[in-house]
Amino acid sequence: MLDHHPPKYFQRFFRWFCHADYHEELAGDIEEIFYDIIETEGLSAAKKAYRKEILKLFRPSVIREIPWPFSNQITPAMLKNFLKISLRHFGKNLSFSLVNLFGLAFGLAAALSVLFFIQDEVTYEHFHSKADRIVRVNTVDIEDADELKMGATPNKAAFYIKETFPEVEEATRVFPHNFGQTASINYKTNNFVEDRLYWADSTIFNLFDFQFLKGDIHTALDQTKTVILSETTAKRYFGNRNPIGEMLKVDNAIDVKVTGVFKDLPTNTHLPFHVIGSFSGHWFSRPDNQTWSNASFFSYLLLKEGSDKAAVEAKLQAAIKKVIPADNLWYTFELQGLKDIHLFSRGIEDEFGARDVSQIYILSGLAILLLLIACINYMNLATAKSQKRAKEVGVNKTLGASSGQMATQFFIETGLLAFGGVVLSLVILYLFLPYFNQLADKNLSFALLAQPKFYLGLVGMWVLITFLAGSYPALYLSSFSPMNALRTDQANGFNANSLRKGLVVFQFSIATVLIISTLFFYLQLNFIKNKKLGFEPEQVLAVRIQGIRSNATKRALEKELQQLPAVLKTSLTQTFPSRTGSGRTIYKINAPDENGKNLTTCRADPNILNVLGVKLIAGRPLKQAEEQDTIFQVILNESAIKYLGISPEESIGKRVNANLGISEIVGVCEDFHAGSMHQQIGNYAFHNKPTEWLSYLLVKVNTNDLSNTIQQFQDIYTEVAPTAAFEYTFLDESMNRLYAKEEQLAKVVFLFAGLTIFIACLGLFALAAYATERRTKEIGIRKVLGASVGNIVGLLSKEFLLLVGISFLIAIPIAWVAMQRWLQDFAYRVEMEWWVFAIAGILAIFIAFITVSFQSLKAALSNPVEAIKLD
Amino acid sequence: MKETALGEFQEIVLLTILILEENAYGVSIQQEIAKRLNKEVSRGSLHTALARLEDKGFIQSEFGEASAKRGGRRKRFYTVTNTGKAALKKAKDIRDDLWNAIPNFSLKIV
Repeated sequence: MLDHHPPKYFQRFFRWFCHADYHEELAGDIEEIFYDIIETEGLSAAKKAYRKEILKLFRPSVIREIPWPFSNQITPAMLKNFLKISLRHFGKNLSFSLVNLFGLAFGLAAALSVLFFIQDEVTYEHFHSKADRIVRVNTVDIEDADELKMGATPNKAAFYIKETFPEVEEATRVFPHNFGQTASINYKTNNFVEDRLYWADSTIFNLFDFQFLKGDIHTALDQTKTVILSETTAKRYFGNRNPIGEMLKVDNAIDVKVTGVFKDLPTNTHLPFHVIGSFSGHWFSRPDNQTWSNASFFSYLLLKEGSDKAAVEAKLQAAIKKVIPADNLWYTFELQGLKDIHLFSRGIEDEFGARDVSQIYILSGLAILLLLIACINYMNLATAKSQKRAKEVGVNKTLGASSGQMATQFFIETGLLAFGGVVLSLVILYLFLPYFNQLADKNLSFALLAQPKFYLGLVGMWVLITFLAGSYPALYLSSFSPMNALRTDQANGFNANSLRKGLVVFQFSIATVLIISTLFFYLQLNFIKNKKLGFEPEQVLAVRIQGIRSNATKRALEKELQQLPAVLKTSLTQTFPSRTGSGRTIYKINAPDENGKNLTTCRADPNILNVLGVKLIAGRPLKQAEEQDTIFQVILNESAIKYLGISPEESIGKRVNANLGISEIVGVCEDFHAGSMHQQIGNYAFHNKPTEWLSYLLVKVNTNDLSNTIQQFQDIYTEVAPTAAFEYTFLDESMNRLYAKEEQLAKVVFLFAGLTIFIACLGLFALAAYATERRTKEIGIRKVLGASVGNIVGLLSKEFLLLVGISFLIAIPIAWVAMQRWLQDFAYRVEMEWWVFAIAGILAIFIAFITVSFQSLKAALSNPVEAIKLD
Repeated sequence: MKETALGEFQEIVLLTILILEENAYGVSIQQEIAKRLNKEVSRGSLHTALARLEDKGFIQSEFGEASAKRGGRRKRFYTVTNTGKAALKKAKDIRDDLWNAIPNFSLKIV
């Protein structure tokens, strides 16, 4: 019973605040309740109740007498006085205080939203109770120079490993439908597009946590041809009817029976199952498909308690060398912890769109910087005001105040302001969270704040800011000697100018780095979008026809579409640029010893080059393969021909070994970007051997009324294939989606750059206001003596512009290194042109100038009499 | 000025202690009230009530046995003092008087 303990920190907190006379009784009572609830409602309910009880015990009748934390120099009455003076200062310098408040609040709100984001990211898979013991088997291509890794393994891997190694308690295969394609699911007269269909062994329930709402978790996937649905999916397919026992048809080929409904999984998982079909019902479970090649199946293992992942991995790597047929031994396996998959999958190819941990670092770095900048604002403004405050300090000290007392006064001021900032930041966060969610593609809820780590974190942040931002003014101002402080001439002692300048430089350096980064992000993304792709993706639709089984029906559909006036060209194909093709190897002609090179292949109909707009340099298009064909045709791209080491014209008619049986080169096409700009254009081939399905119908259209055309397509589609769901994508959109992550990062950095500049300018604005105010008389006299408005503005702006200029010089190398690294991820990238830096610099200086000139213009335009008569 | 009147919640607590006889300690009182009144009472608000009652001299307490479930801590058992019983009685008498003074028809729920 005593396996569990009440939340440690709350227990400690209670011991700290509870009156000694009551502690034994109360702590005992709530602990007793805690164990009672564990038995009836479980651990998490008990913990929740425990926390609630403790918080409710935090009341005057329970709290011990807290010893006065300050020295006896500071009495409660004095604190009250401090509070009063602080509030008066806020009122007196309202604009200053507001600048501080808003700067702090925006910084905090940004930091909080990033914290929310990170919390979501680092808790991927945590809801699986055995997550710590689950590993994924990755396949590592040892023949590839870069050791290409794949998240998937051959079919045989999972259960071979389970049977061979006693450390492995359980294993399951997960196969994303048709290698990660969407499925067309048919129920009676309704067709649904399902992009989250996976086939898995029934052992999956022994690894991952599922909560069944209907059906039996122990038997749901035991029989072949069964599926289970998530709650939402069940609702989508069946409405409010009971789905159990209903029959669905997948891609018009596989009939499956619904045997269970499970509670929707949290969104932070790399396996967001909507539909899980029993693996045994899929043709990949047939004995002839149990091979050591074709790495398309995700294998998850549950290790026994206490077994060592690295040891198992080493044993596994040694063992497979004896098991796998020699000609397939181009790979080895490694094990990756389930919780690592989301953030630490750099260089591993899978279907799951992992995020690299570096993005998390970048974001947290930005959040910390923003917060720092907001704190610096406070310090800057506080020291700028120091001359005015100096007199106050002087008088206080003359009357007997100590440095400690004065420091307390300033800390209280900061603490009050920071508290206001925290409250305001919550308001801002509440208002902007929906936009942030959209930007980050997340579903973060404001309710996260109810978690202790967040509200306690917020309190921590408040304390931290108070000390960070308050320490400088508190320690610096309170150290004035009363004699100096009371002197009216502003000469000696307290010149905080250089520090203030340093802080401004720091702020603007960061802002400039962010401006430069934003510019490069924009330029690079623009470059990618406008770079010649080598084909024409505009107005090309890819209609998915996986749901249609027979080639005859596919061709009938193609014929029908061709009748439409808006349709220019059509072709059936296995895949299209932006999607992966089949991975094969091409070998040099007459050089059997060579290792060969990777070749991406795509089975297609004769018209494919036409539809895509890829230029044929030599030879002729493919022909339609016929039943009796034994020799197949390929069209290679220039890169592949270059590898073969012959000229395009020479190559025509030659036989080539590309794992396609006997195949003949009939044509050579120009290189085009079949993948993203992150990679160099590789070897590519179109062929007509019917080894792959024709999954897409590409349609080049010419119309101004796209929606109408698509409607016509859909009508024809439903007529030809009434039991398949209609789904399409535009080629150009599909290409753009390859850079979705970069665009997202660019948007986030843009947002942060804007915020940084905004906060830094708030500070600069207030500083300029202060500097101008101090020189009012000087300006008046200068004007009387004949200075022009331009002279005065120049005089007042010069100092600040110089600072911004220095920060620009500091920013250049930092931004240069950072952007160099970011751009390295792209095989095709923009040059690091000097003018980008220049623009960023001019922009920073311009913004700073505008900010400062508000104040200086006001001063320069005012009547000098007003200024001089003051004394 | 020492207050000797009974608040409503304090009265409930006193009565509950009497109901529980020998077994009146924090958790049992809390659960009994929750059961009878069908509402959740936090240990904190119960503590405030008990502390007030003890101040007024209506209850007294002593430590009992410890158990592992309580992290080895002892229970504090409460009993109602004679003053407490008198206060309860007085409260009841006042109510009874008031009830008796109500004309019958006024109680009809319309």
